[in-house]
Amino acid sequence: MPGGPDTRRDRELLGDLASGSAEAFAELYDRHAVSLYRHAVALTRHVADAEDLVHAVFVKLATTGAALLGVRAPANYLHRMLHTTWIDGGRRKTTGEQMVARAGRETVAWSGATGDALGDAIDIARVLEVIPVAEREAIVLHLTEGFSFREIGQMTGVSLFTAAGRYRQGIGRLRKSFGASTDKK
Amino acid sequence: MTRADLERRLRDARWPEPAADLRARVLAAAPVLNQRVTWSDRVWFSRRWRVAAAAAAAGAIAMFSLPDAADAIRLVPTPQALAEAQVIDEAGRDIGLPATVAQALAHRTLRIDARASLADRTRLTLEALVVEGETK
Repeated sequence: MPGGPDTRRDRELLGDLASGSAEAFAELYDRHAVSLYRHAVALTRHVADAEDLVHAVFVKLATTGAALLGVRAPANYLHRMLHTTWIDGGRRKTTGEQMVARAGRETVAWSGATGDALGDAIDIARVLEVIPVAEREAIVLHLTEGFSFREIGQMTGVSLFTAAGRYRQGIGRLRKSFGASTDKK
Repeated sequence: MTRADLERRLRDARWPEPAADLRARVLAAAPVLNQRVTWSDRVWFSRRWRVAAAAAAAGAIAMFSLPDAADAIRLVPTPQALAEAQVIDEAGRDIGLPATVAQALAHRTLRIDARASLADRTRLTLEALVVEGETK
């Protein structure tokens, strides 16, 4: 979660990583990989692409160097890095070369919830299909990762209001979709 | 389905987790550079240093924008002191002192006079304040 004593520890780790500590790098991976992976899944909807994206972010992080000393909010910094890496990757994909390679790759197909009742289960794959990428990203970052709309705006390069609007629209779209499916049953 | 209900379900949903071998791949592939962080890097990226530099700049601007204290209390010699200084200057030259020494003596007289007149003014102001206080 952003803020608090975790942030201080993350800053220490980034400082150590800037000096070339492999242990600090491993600890940073353990602390942030799952959260970054969820963000990556929301963006790409492909397991392999999400893993590649997380991989690319950590490679970037390892080679950043002394600039890591200036990072104030490490979690936000990493998610912003993931967002920009994804955009850069998207530009490269428009060449078409990777579009072919992506065909047939495994898409996200999970369902289930931590709750006991099966009726409470929500299909993440369907959630990802129903809403556009910007809205998916806002929902994951706000609801699952606990970032504020201001932070999401800073990460994704939009205003606080745009980030909040994307979240609201996404939730609205999901409600419609899930409401329609409930009615059919 | 209400919005709160949907948000709760989304929060509770089981999200996918990265593959177990991803960690090993990342750690193996990432080129952690064994580099030294210099003191200049630490200073440059230190927020405290930046704030201190900004505060120093603001302080310098504020100091230059304030009127000079020396200008505020300019010492003006009286006509009598000017005449005395001229006499001293001439007398010094007459007795064979170098011109610079004679001028320095004359300036000294002017400064002593100005200080004395400033002290007089201060004393008069203080007396006036005391009198004003007593009348109130």
